[in-house]
Amino acid sequence: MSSLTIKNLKKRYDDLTVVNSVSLDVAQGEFVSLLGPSGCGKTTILRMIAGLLDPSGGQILFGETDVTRLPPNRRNIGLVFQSYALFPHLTVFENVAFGLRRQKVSGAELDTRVREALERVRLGQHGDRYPRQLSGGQQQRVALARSIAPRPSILLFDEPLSNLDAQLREEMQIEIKRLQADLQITSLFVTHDQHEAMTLSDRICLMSGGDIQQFASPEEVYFRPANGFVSGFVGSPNKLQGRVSGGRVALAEGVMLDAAPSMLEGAPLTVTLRQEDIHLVPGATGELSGTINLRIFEGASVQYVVSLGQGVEVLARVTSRGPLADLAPGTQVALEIAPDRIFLSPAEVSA
Amino acid sequence: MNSSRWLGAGLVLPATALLLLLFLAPTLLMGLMSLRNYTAGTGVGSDWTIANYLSVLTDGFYIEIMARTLFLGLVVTLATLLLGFPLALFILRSSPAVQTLTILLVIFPLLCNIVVRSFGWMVLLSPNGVINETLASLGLIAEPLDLMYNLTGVVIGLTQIYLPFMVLLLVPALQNIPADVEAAALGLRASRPRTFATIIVPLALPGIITGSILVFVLTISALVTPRMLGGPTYKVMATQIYDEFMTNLNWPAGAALAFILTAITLGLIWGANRLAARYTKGLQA
Repeated sequence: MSSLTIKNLKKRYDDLTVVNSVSLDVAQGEFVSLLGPSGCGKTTILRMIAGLLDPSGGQILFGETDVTRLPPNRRNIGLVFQSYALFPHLTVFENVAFGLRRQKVSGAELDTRVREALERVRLGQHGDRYPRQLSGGQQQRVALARSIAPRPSILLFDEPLSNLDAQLREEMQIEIKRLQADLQITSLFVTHDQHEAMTLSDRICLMSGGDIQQFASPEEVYFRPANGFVSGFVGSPNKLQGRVSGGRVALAEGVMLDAAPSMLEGAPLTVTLRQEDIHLVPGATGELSGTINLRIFEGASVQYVVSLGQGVEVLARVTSRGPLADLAPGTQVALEIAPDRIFLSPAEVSA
Repeated sequence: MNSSRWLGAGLVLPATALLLLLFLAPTLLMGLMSLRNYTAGTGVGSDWTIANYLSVLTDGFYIEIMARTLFLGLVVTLATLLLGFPLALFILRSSPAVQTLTILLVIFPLLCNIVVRSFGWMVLLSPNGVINETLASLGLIAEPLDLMYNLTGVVIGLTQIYLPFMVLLLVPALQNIPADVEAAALGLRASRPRTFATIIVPLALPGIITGSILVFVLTISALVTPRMLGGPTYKVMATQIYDEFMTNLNWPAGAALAFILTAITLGLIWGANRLAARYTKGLQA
């Protein structure tokens, strides 16, 4: 077990920069997610840490040890892949034993440690099966057991839950969280799913275009997004185009937002409003008001499409048990948005 | 019967008729032929006998030919496998453009007639051929090397001729190996050679077995190349069958030999399939 530090890590292919001088550190036992859209460089970083890709520059440290030039088999890592990557020609037992055998563990100790790892993922009875005979969720649990059995100093996850259906994914999230909390293994988790990142992580490293946009706790990332990209990526945001007008923001002619932009008068900007931050007051008119166009029942929540006039529409989300759950289309509503919940960014940075 | 079933029957009829008439019937006739007695000078008799099979299976002359044929098959199969595997890996891991080009280069020799290719090897390998002349003029050898009319020549020729089959079967087998499996093995502390031996090769086994069976069967039944590069003295089963029929006019002996070759082939295919089933248990759903 050790901490993980990367310093000025770069990856370039000819003139294409995939990872642009990224530095981050993960404390011992910490769980950090690399979150971002596809092509943001998160998987490239993970593969460089694993030793599967050579960096174009920079350093990777496990604890105090520089591993930048070490081959993957000498880094003492655990890898979990989206495709599970189990060895199909080996039984579940032999899959889990594979890494242990490379550490010269044998006999009764091998047996005990394989059983122990399989028990941890509740697959103790499946040692004799072949991977093909298991369901997707079970296969991913075998992959998890296989990665922890040799007691790696760092666990690397490459979108491990993306191939599972929604319900299974939630179960696996809890499984991974529990496992990581029990074992206290430093973990780096690559995902494009913000809910996954929020649920699992101690800290989230949000990436875009090969750069870190924000590296902070899930709460911090959600409540205090560092920039327009982060506010547009986290939560379920409305993204609207606007313009600075009279010290405030105009979404369209006569549709004004109560915010204080720091940009110059007339500058185009992108406004990000979280659906859950928009408070609806039925029957009232205010600074910003509109008409309910559409009501969408989602189970735990209700989503409204609210027309603000001039072709501007926003989505608002309320809890389905609350007093606002039953507004009929056509209802007049005032929209109240706390000024600190309105995120403004220059238009060209919009994600 | 409704019309679609008539249509189905109609569609398979031509091929079935062709197979029955031109394959099964001659095979049957050959089978009967192999059980006829033969007297030198008078030809095929009308008595039934298994002497043809017995003589092939007990006569040292035939046993040597069979052993030589099987050994040749083994050597050529191993040679194509050893040359083909790295080539298949190379094809798989290069860029699409290089991939297309390499596959074209692999297939290209197949477009050339086998007689021409064998003759080409004769030009290269003969005692005063290109290779010997070059080595001699460089002062590397005093006497010409025996590259032809022996095992060496036949192995070189057949390996070159059957290499494309091996490569074309190995490429899809290697392609079927899931992408992250190799990375997973490396992450689990396996060195590259170990990953190759314990992960890549076992997962490519279906392709290795299919390719090996194909090359082996083609090799032990090859006629033209062993005849041209092996000469009249280096006899294998196929050339012997040819000689029994065309030179000795001993059709029953030739037919018996042909059936034994077929039996060996079928036995090998069956055995290899059993082996494949055992070692690829996890690969089948």
